[in-house]
Amino acid sequence: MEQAVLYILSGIAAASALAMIFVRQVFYAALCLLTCLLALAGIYGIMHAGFLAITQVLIYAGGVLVLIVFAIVVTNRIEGKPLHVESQHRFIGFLVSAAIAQVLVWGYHQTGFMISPTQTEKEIKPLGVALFTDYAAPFEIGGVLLLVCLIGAALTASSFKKSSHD
Amino acid sequence: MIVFTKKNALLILMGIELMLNAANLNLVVFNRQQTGMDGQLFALFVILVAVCEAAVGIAIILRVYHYYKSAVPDQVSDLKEHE
Amino acid sequence: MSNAIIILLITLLIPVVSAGIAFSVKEKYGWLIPIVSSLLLLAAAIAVLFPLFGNTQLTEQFSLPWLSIGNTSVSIGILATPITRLMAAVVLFVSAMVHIFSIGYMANEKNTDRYFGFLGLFTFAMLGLVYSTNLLITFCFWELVGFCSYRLIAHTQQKPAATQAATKAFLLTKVGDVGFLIGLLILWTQNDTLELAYITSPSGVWSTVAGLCIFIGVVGKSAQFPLFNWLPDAMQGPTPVSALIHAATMVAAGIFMLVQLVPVFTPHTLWVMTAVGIVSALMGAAGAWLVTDIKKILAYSTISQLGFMILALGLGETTGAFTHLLHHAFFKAGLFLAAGSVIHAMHQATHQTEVDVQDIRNLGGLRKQMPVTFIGFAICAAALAGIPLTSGYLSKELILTAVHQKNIWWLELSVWIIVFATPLYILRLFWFAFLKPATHVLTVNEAPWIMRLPVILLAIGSITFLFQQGHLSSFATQILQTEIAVPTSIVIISLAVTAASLLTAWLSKNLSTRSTEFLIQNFLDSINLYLIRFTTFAGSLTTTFDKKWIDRSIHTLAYGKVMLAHVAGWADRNMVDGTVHGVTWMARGLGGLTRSVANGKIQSYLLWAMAGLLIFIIWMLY
Repeated sequence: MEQAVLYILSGIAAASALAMIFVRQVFYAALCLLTCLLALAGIYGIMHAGFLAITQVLIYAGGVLVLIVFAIVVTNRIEGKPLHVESQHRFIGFLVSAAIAQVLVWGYHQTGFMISPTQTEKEIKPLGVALFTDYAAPFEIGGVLLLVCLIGAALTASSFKKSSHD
Repeated sequence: MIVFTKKNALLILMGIELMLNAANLNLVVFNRQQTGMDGQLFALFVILVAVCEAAVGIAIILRVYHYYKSAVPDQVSDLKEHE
Repeated sequence: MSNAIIILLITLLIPVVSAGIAFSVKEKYGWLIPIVSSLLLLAAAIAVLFPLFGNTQLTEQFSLPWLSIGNTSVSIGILATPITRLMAAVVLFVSAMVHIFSIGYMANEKNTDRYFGFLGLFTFAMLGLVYSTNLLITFCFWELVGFCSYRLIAHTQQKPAATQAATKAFLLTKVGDVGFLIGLLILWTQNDTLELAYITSPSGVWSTVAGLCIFIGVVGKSAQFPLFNWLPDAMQGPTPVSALIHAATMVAAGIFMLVQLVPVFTPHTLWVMTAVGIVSALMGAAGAWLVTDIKKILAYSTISQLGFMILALGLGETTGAFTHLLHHAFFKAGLFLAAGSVIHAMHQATHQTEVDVQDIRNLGGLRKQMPVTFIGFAICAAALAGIPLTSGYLSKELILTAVHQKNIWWLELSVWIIVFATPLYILRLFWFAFLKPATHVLTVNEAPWIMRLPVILLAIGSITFLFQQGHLSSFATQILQTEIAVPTSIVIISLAVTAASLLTAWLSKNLSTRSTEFLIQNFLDSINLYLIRFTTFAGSLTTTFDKKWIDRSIHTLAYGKVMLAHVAGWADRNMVDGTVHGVTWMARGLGGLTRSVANGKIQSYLLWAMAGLLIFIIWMLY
């Protein structure tokens, strides 16, 4: 049962990722990205990473994607026509991507797969403990990073009324 | 391939997000084969960083778009020596 | 080089040096030249003859090789036989007399520098012709003599008649020269050399052809039938020129060549020569009796006398002809110079009025007014007529003897007619100029002594005042040591003929003749016209041939060359430049290729970076 859902969700994720390459309009690509993210969130859930799944849906699907859609709308506004996307260097791009994929697949083959021990309860509690004990420093730095990025992004994108020389 | 090929900066950004998510997926899945929560924690931090980067990236794209009046990265080629 | 040769060389160079000085010195000092050169020429004449007084058979030769082509060679040299020495002496003496005479005659004329220059050049050319050892050199001097004659006839360039006459003289002698050249070439091919000492008669029919061709040259140069028309017209030149060139020397050059080339002629050629000689002599005598211009009478007389000499040569009487040549030089020059004195005096007397001083009908009564000239003219005229005690008589007797020995009746008859005709015209001239009462009453002054002197000297040369073996002899026969054995019958008959002729002339002195001089000239002029028309037609044919074929082939060659140049240019542009362009194109392409890495596009940078990284990773993994 679990495996079937896993397969379906992975299939959706792969298909939507592939679809992103072939769709013509930017907005449709953004929607494909959304489905991919949601599918990934489902996979996280099945993999006993419930916290991560919720985080994914909240932040990615609710935050980043909304931001991207707003950006699409903004950059589309001045043009006045549907934003078709063309692609170039397809062959070389495909080759290089295939090479990267090959390297990663080779990496997979070097790995030995083990049967995983099952952990079903108290998933969140060890996460929170580890976050504040072993990984406290990255936690704090991550907070500072968020602050800095927030301020930076706001500053960068906000001075449209003045002259646009940087 | 999206990053190499597409002619829209936002689409490139989406490709980058896709890559990060792929890395996340790997982390989470291979966490199942270990004890401890290292994988998931790492994935959390990846999400964190990805969000920051996406925000700053969009801000830059909007600025560039405002200057060059185009979201196509090929048109932003001031680094190229004019012939 | 022996002393004699050196002396001859000096005598050769004196006139050319005089000519050179005459041409280069200014007019102001020009009066000095003829005096100096005439004295030098006189001295030269004596110097040339001097060795012969001792040894009359002295023969020397000196030659330098000049050019050689393959096996044949031409050499310049000086030949010093008695014949050449005598001829040279006569040329020098007459030239000296003419120089002296010209001092007086050309006293008030312009352009005397040109005159004396060409006079000197002519003397040099004549001497070169006489001394030459090689027929090619002779031909060169032959042409030079013709050229000097042309320039001297046309000395007064303002008279169009003079320039026309000069051109006519040059062209007619040129026709003869073509024949001479052809004859020379035939001789050269047969003999492989043109040295006078070695020339023998070629074999077969070519000998007659060669002889005839050379004789054509003589016909042109010595004014024989049919190329004699230029000589009466050449009288347009100054009288001293006529005396030197057209009486004594240049026209004598032809006869001289015949004398030198005696071994070359076959009996056929000799008969042709005799015939031409007879015809010319008769036509000349007839012309001299009919015309009324002093100088033209003398010109026709020259033609007649030259015909007489050629007649003698045709019969083989070389000595007689040569001595007659030398004697003729003296008395004809004397006659011309005397005529010149008369013309000069009459010019001054009539003060350049409309009277034509050369027309004998306007002359007369000059016996009392110009006594010295009268005597000189009389002596020379007597020599021409062949009266005893003159040199002309001696040579005439020699020729008559040779004619008589042949025993051909029509030959003898023609010769007696010639002998009869000669005193006729000269007595007529003599009477008209000196003896008859004057037509116009004028005060005529005797010529200045500088013009009388040459006449007297030449007259003296025409008398036989020397003795040889009991016979009277002239200077020429003395030096040549000729045997004068004339049968008494000839003497008597010739005396009778001469006396009869003089009587007839005296009786018919008042006979007025119409101006039939134009008849002969018109007849021959029309022949010349046909000749000219034919030559111009042939010339136009060769011109078309030249234009069509030769020019066309040259044009084709030029086109071919231009096309070749175009091809070469195309090859250069496309291949050579193409190579260079190809190299640059490749370099540019490679450069463009390598430059395309840095094209300012983010995605391509990313691609290159990833590609490099991948290669590194893959290399590391394997």
